[in-house]
Amino acid sequence: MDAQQSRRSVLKTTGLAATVGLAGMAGCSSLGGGTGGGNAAQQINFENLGNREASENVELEFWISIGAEDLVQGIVDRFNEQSDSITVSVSNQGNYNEVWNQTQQAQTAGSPPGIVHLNAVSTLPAWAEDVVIPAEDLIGPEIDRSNFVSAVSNYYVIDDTLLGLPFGVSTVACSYNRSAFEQAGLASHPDDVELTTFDDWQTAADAVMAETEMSSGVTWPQIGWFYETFFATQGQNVVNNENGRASPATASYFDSDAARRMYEWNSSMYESNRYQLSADWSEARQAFLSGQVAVQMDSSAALAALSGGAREAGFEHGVGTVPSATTDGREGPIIGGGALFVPTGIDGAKLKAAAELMLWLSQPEQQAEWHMSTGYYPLSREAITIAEEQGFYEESPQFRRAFEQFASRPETPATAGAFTYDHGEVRTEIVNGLDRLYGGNSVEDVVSSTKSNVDDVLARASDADPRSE
Amino acid sequence: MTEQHSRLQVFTSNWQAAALLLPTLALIAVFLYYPFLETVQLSFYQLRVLGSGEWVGLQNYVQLFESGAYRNSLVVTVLFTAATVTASLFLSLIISFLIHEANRFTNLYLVAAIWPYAMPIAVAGIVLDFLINPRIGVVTWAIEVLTGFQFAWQTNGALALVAVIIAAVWQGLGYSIIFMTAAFNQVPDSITDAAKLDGIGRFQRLFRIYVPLISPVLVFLIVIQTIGAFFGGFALIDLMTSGGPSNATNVLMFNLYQDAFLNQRFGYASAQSIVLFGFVAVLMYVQLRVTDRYAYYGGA
Repeated sequence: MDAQQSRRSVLKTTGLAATVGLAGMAGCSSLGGGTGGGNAAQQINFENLGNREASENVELEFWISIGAEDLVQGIVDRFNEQSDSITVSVSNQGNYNEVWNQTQQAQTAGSPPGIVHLNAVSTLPAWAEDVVIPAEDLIGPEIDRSNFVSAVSNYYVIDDTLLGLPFGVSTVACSYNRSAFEQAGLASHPDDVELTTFDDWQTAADAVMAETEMSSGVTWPQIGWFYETFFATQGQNVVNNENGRASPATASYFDSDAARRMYEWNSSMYESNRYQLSADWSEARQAFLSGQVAVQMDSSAALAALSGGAREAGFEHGVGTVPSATTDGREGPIIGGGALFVPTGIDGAKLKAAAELMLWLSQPEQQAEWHMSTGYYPLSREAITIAEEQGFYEESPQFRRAFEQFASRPETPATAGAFTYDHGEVRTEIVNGLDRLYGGNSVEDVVSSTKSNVDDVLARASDADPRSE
Repeated sequence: MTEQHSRLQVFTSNWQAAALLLPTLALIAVFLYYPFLETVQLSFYQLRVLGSGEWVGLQNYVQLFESGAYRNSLVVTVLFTAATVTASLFLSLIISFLIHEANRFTNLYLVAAIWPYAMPIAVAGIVLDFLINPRIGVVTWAIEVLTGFQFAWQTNGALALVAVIIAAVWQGLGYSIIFMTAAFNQVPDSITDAAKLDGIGRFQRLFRIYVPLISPVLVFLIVIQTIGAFFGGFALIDLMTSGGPSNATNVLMFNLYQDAFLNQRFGYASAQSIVLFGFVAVLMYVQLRVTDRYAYYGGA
């Protein structure tokens, strides 16, 4: 073999091996038998549920998504102490998507964890594909849903069945710079501040841009959830069939008057520099805390961090209102965040232990602790009372204001939030439409293209939703 | 058997050699070829979640070739690859030549040149995101002050592609520079001295003498960089643009990731993976055939 041939063959082999390897790794493995159909309701013997005991020693894995594993483990340790037979260990398995993927992989491998923390948008596929057991089937007889804050739990209720136990629930919340508002001559006290309508936001932006050194007025991250919230505050469903709750959605309402108002407002705010584009969460927070803008929208879970950041930056933080087009017919924000689910594939003592833990976590004491430690909304009114008694809202009034806006909204399909199979893709299409808007396309073009693209996403999933059968 | 008596013949038994190769082969089989075969299988199924699927034959491939989004992704990838490989190789050729020509501080220049490559790609992506952020980036600020041009890549698709190309070139320069510097050092001094005596200019010397002499290394780098650009770029795009705005930077690899792990369309994503493999395999073959004509491997 001469030198030339030898080198070339090495090169060829290297190239081929690398491409094969990368293609293999890029793909995904494991294929099993087909299931599907939201038929995971299990016949569980609920006898003695609530006594925190199992017939044998059980070790349960609890996969959390939002990085608060030490805090959750601290809460769960009290559960472990109360139980003679159940030991729960909490681990952070990455973001919501990673937990969702890893749950499926663990099921395929035959060793799913006891409880997983999934994003709200995974609810429908998780239920439809029998990845999870509906929470109501597990702990239904032991819980009274009338004690729940319906705004928190309604997203997860389909066919009058609670599918997951809300955990880490938040909404879009509006923060504003009280000092800048004062300087701009605007009402700055949270009781008086005018940030309820799209026009209010425009007026506030004009005032701070004229009277302060801020180059823009408002910002929020380019994330589809915010735009779904603008649908809900206007009382507009995002998709048909009662926002996908009565039956699978087949068409979207991105060509509705509410959508047009939203895009017109967003476009004019952007063109006039009143709205400062923030690509993601951190950019929006940075813009607010560094005094580039006076008003910012974020997750309510970030309120404590924003309040603390504002103090450090030397201005006073206030909580305003997530806007709607007008005050007439105003509804309210939708929820975000996730819920706890019990995966299919566990049974016997392990399943009972998972049900025990779900039940225990749903109780007001645990909910209050979680709420006060993180800012995520609690599941029950009793938890609010506990937080009140412990003086939480005196120290952190911003949570009370954001929560009351949320909890006092009318319960309609619009505020319950859109329930679609590939909701992550719907949100991607919303952001793609916004990119086109900022890239110079007309509102009418964005309206029609977004509607068409989202309708395509809905059509692709039409046969996957078991409710369509 | 002459070969058995060669000084290079370390092992006397084929079994011995096979036993020593076995761990490597087993790892390759388990972690590369088996997943590859599984991916081929998955590409004929429609899966909504892992572990359950329905045989759909070639439907995923048909859908793929009918998809406007996929065609867009292919165009973006070809542009990204062509620009990244060309710019990266040209710049690293110039930089490594200048380092080779320098009389003092050569090691210092070399370390400085390969520094970005030593950085984890995620860190490099975040650093560059800060540097060229349209609002807070010092580089974009300087561009705007000096030229009046707003490098608004977060809303302009073409500029976003330029931004990720700049990031990929900057991050990957060091790799080529290491190889090219080593190759330049292999060029005999007598050739350089003869060229200087003949009065050949510096850059003529680079392109007329050095480039042909180091052509095998260049071929290797073209192949590796092309594979890297087709399969890589993922981390930078994920961190900087997430494929946007409006899919302007949605390269095939990112599109595949989105469809598999965000949109849960594993069968469709597997088909993309196989097609991507096909593209790169064909491209490699063509590149090797074409460059074979120009690469000089020594000998007659």
